[in-house]
Amino acid sequence: MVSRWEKLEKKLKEKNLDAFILTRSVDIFYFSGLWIE
Amino acid sequence: MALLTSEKKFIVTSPMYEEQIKGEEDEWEVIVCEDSLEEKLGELGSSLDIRRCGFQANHLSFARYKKIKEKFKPQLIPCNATVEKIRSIKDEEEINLIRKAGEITLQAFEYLKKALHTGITEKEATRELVSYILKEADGVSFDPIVLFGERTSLPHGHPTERKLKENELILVDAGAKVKGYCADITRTFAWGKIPKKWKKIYNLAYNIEKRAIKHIKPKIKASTIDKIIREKLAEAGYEKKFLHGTGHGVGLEVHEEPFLNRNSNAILEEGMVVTIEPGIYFAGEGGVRVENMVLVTNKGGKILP
Repeated sequence: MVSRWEKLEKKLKEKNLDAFILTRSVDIFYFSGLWIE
Repeated sequence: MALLTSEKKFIVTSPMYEEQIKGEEDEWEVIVCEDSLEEKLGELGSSLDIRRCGFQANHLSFARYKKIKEKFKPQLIPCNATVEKIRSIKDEEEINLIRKAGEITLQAFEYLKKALHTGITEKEATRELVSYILKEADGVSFDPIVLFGERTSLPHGHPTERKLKENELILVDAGAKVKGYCADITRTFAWGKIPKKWKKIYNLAYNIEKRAIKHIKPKIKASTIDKIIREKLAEAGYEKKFLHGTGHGVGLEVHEEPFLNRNSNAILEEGMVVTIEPGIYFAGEGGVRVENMVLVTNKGGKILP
């Protein structure tokens, strides 16, 4: 199964990005399992 | 905030969360910062070998963007719905949590039905519903909508001190939350005997809902599902009585990608969980809405739970 991080990594490659900033707690939770801000 | 690179994943957070995340940060480097998180993130980004860094343009205020940009040397590239589109396709674990949240929601509706009595207020009924959900789930997905009589015409009405009378409609829109995952279901009930007009309208909404769900499959446009509903309502002369979109994705947020409406560019894909919620509303008289969560599978739409 493709991990959530691998899905994002694929998107970043498509957009020619080296990194990505997450600014919402709900999205941080999705990738990390941590509820923080 | 978090910064993800192919090499490493960082979380930049305040001391408030330090204890909470202790022991859970195996894969993540956690940077606890007492001052501005944006400045810290800017400094961090500048210290790494990064050229182009995406950010959630639709979820970052201009003020916060400016603060990050002051210290952040790599190019900041605005991205829209990048994460939301990934999140819109659910894995098995997520589907199971949404199913569980849906099961509790339907149980709460049954509990509410037994607690109802003529004279109960919308607010009291809401408290009954919420008390059940809080016993069985982690929380509610949103403030429930519990409306009686003519107030059922308000798609997003707030419960009031309005008392339930004999022979009128009840509309309940609610959802439980399990491990962060939401449910969103609406039912319209009759309290006593209601005029034939409402039975006819309820049956119409129910049948339109069923028909729309039959069309759900991977690769169909979200706008096509919306069109199917609007065309059937138009045939009955009620196209102007449908006051909102056909539905939306459900997951960690109660309203998330994909959105099903006439302007949507979304294409349904296997693993998405969406609501289908036709409604027919008559201002000052009442309304009917039927809403289910539907899993998109390669065999078609499957109602959850």
